[in-house]
Amino acid sequence: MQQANRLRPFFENITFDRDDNELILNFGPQHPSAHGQLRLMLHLQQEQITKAHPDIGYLHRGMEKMAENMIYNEFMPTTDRMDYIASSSNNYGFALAVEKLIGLEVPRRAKVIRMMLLETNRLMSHLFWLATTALDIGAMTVFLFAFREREYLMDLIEDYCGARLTHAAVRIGGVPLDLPDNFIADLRKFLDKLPENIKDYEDLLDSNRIWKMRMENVGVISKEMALSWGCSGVMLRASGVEWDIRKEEPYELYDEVEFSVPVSDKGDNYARYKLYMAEMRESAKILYQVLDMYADTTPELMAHAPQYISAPKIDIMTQNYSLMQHFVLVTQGMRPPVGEVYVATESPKGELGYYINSQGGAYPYRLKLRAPSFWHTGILTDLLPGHYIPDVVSIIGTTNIVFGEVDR
Amino acid sequence: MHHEEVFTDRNVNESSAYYYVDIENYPTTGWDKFKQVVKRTFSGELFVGLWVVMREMIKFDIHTVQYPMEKLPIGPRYRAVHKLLRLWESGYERCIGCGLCEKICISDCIRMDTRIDENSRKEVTEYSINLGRCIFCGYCAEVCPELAIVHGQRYENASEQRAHFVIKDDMLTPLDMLKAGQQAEYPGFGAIIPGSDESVKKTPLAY
Ligand code: SF4
Ligand code: SF4
Repeated sequence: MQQANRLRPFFENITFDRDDNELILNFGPQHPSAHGQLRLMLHLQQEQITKAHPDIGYLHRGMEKMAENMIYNEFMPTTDRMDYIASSSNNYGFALAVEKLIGLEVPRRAKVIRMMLLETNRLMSHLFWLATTALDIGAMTVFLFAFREREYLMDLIEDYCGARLTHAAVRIGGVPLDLPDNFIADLRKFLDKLPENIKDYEDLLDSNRIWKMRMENVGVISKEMALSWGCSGVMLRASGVEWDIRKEEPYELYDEVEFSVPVSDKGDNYARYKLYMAEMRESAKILYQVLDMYADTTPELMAHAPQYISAPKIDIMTQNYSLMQHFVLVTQGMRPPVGEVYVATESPKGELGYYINSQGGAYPYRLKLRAPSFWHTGILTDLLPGHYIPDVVSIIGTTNIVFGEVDR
Repeated sequence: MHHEEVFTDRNVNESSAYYYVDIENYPTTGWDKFKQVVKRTFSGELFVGLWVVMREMIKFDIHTVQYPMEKLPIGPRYRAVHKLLRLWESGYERCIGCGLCEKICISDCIRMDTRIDENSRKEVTEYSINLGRCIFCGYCAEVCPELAIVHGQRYENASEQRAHFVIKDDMLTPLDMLKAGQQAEYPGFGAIIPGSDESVKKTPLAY
């Protein structure tokens, strides 16, 4: 045990070694720019990082194990708590996986509503990313501006499902509610204003010399590195890989809408920033198209599959058989056929995958969550060495990791 | 073994595809770097940013809500502290004590007690929700076959004691309020789709 005296200062979390001049610095887990509960152990030579070791697990809740003791429907609100910035995307991934497992076809209106939820969630997540990253780097104004716009979207989601952060807005087999009356008009109003807002952010940041110096050529990920660390989403596309699951393996209505996916070959923070901004514009484009699709759909919201899905409430209240079926499905849970399925969706952060192994019981035998942020935390080991301490903050910012998802 | 998965239904065509965002190449030679420094020194981009902020400032478009005095309206579907509703006609409690809400509750926070009363009807004697555990997921309202448990609009639920959190009497619509027509139906999770009266079918005799 080191003794504190005047010549050898002793701090609890810093070891100070005179021989090789290396300093070990604990970054987080309570550091405000550690995006939640990230603990980084940084080995420093002066200000330069020689070794970085991300340490995770401070938010671990054992979701995969929890899923093994829940009926499928019950697990839905738990998925909210993974990427809590865009919780409908998690709900959707899970619902899609179970639907694949039992082979359900979802009614068209539910699909349209789901598309709206997915893309508003993408917008919310990207706005949140912009706000927090700008705040980490010191651009407080952008933080306030972006949070203002995110607030509008949260209000819209609140109108739809009654919650702002943990939506639980998707169900296996459809969606629980129809859109409220003013939803489409409000969303359209928001989208009409969005380009203006994005332009404001870009005016503030795009050519700002401080922003550029903190972003350009910082945190460069080469194509090989991105692929070998299992990056996905913007992290992968900023390194020059053309890969977006919405394009490669379209789910829901992504094969009916027209949108482009921005790519860059720079691989640095600035490229990632550019891609996030461009993706927001693309999301708006998708939303306009799905808003138009809503009008010509029939009012069904849930798939008709009495073996797995409860009937609509009006049937439960008037039809004896539906009521009995409802009781069985709630108390015992649906029993998907024996089989396994892996479904990947493009969540705002990257590839969000659900693997379900069903043995025919009411509980999943095994449920594995593949969360993009986990891999993006891992890459910090290779990415940080060679950078300086201030760069750590901007690099963590642009990786867009969310700890609910890393630790699960 | 390398296994190449084939994606057959890619949504990539002329009008919607991948495109490269244009980012200027970064300077590599010393001279280019020097030019960049000079350019940055004399460019006026900081004033553009200042203008954006100034513009917002002179608009004087302030939306700050003085919270305890002023409150924002919340959506009718908002999932806040629960309510138990009564039947419009008779004023009886709607809850039939079926226990579906207790079963589905993800955080296991609903507890209820029932008994068979003198008229051989099931009576709900206790019904409590531990709001310290409730995650306000809305599943109890969604599964309830009688539209009995719903979410209300009360979101300020600080209390001095946990026991105050939610007991049946707090949630149940008082009879005088019901008589005054102040019980509102909940449009959120578990609500009946408006206009579905027409779609009600008689139970086919085949059942
Ligand atoms: S809202 Fe969810 S957690 Fe709360 S009592 Fe209802 S089912 Fe349980
Ligand atoms: S589900 Fe509804 S009727 Fe059944 S016990 Fe709960 S509140 Fe009562």
